Amino acid sequence: MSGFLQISEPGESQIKDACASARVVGIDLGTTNSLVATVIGGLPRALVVDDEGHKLLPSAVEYLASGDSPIVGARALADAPVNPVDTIVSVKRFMGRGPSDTETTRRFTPYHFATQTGPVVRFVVAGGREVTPVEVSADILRALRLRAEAELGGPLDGAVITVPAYFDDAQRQATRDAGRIAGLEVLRLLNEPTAAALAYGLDKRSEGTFAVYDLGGGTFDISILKLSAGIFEVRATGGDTALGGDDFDRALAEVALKRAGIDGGKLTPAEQRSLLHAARACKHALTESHTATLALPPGGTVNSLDITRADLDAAIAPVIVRTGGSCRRALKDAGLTAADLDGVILVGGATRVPAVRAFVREQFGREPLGDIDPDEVVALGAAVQADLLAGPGSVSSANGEAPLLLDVAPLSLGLEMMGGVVERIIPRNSPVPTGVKQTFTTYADNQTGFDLHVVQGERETAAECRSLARFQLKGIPPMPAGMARLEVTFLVDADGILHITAREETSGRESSIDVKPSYGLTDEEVERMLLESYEHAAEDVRARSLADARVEGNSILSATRSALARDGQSLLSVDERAKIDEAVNALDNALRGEDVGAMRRLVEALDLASKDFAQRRMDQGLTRAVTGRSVGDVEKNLEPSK
Amino acid sequence: MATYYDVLGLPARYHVSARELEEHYHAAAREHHPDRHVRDGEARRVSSALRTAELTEAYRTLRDPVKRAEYLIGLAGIRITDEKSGHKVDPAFLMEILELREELADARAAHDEVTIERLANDLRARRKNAIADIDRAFTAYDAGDRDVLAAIADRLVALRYFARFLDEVEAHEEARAEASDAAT
Repeated sequence: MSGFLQISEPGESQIKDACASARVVGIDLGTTNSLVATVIGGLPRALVVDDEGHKLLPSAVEYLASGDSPIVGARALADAPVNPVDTIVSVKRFMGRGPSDTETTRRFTPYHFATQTGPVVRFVVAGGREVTPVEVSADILRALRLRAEAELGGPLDGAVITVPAYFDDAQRQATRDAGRIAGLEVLRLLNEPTAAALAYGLDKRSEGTFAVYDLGGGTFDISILKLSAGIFEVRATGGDTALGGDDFDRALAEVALKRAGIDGGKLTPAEQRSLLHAARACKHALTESHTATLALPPGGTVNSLDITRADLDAAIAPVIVRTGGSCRRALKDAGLTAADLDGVILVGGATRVPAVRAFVREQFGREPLGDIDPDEVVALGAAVQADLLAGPGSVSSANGEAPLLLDVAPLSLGLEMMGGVVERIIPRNSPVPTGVKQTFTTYADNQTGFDLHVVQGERETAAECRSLARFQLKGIPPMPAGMARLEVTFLVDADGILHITAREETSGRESSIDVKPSYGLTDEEVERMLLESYEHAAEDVRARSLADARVEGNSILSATRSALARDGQSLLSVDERAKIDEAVNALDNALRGEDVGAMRRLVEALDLASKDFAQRRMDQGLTRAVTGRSVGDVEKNLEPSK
Repeated sequence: MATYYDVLGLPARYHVSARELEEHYHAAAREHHPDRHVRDGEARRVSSALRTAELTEAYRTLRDPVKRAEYLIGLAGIRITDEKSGHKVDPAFLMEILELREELADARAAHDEVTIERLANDLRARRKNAIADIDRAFTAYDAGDRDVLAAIADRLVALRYFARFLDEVEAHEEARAEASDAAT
């Protein structure tokens, strides 16, 4: 390591120091964009995810016929209109869904779906490869992981991944699996509105009762939280995991097609994707201006249309009002009215649409809070939670204590009884972790097992709820009917995921349980995907060592430059200075390339060229310390490198 | 066996303020919540999850005055859902509720919002009175009067019928709100 780093200037090695204990991040795995953030010096910050300095990574994955690692991010998104079948966007809407889910048959869904798939959706992409939504999400998470590791200078110790509060068990499990396949240790799944409230509450030092209205690209959540003395307590949550900005785009696209006399059913996948992109661009433009142009696919009477904001408002009104019922129900479940709230926080890109803001204003009878970045806030909250979980965290609330999140289960959990009726065992909005014990007795002589069907949802019959899993309890000792008593414990953990254990009361024996998840992957499938991801392991290693070399090179570069700026004039001759400058420029050039070997060589070369300079600076520092400056000053100077 | 009151570290009394419950819940959560034990061993993590599940169940039950009353008389051995230990429902009361629900169903079918609101307001007032009765009865109970338990159970049974009635009113109100959303 270069001598400069040992006496580095304040600020330079901050990123590394902040992560000295545990390198943990928060990830907002969004429908449209994803972000990764970490806590540096007590404050959460979003990390850049590409060489252009962007913090938002488009959640688009393009699979290649060559079988190489897929392209993730802006380039994949740009390719989507030309390569619509192999480029998966908005994959979040497919997480935890079955192959016959309405999501797969929605208009303008230009994918090929596998026909024999078991309980999960599979996309058929380049080269006939089949990928599940979990794998696509894992590819996005892997891209974020590699980028974060490059930024933070080493492998991650853990991550908090956010999910919509209204995600059900299968959707949560799918997200956890994706994290695992991406090589992340998932410390916790965190509900997006709760993450937003955490970041907002800590930043503004706010206390009181808040509603978080989170309308993203594909999902909608409403959460009511009470913030007091460092406790972030969710009182109620509600939402719709198939409602978001994507639905605005579709609605606008339909209006445009109708007006231009184009049959939407005849569009090619490429035309469908282009149209959705055009609709989105038009929607974005209408946030600021009152008219915008929408480019149309060929085949109609015109090539493009002028769309007014009023047109957009009319097209999306039926989508927006669908958020109203969830808002009212969440308030009621929290035992509150809109007047009891201290503020409404807007989260998610779709809340930039003026009609959405107007709807929220009307629904809650107040102006929503404007001092918040709706794109970043969720990732920032997740970073704070990751920091807290990795503990002892550097973030504290106003009263000096570490904040604590108390969240709830969004959906009721029930058992299917005789006749298909649901018996509710855990009501919605129960604080998590939550659990109940239920005792079952055998109804036949020598019965050794039970079948339990667990469902999630608010409806009265199992058929109308969402099937979560079928459990087979086995190993009950043969006894006359009614004698064996089975105690089953249902536990919903802090991630909102259900666990079941069972014990036969008379024998005290733990019963074994076979779980057949209704949607989602089996443990074996996740294992296989983990193994397959090792196919890309060689590439990962290469990417990682490239990232490491860049981090090391850049930190030496900036340490050298600031040392030169400070003492170059006084401690170096013109010749000496020229040599160091040359080494600096050579390294700077190499860092822009991909050659890890060259980077390493030039780091050493710079080290050598600046060795005397470093020594002189050190001597000078010591001389200063003993001639006149107080010890306190010197210690202060050294502090950042501790 | 530990009661919900034990779990929250509070004396087993009906009269407890929402604030007191919340403070005890928060203090216990700070100690036991799984977020505080992510880096601990498997056994500690599982026990913290179970402990917190118990805690949240206790808090969820006790913060609701009706569930709290049901829980307390349950500790005294009375279960209003259990016919053996429970308690006969007055047939006249059942008859009255049945008639009220019929009236509600008719009003809904006829879109007679005035009648629906009158019925709802009436039931809400009766619910309020029943909760006030329970509150008073527990004052006597805490003073040592065990005979009030039957009266409490009686009011709790009535509350269940009121709740079912008011659920239907709320379903109606929600359906109306959604219809008006769709119209705008």
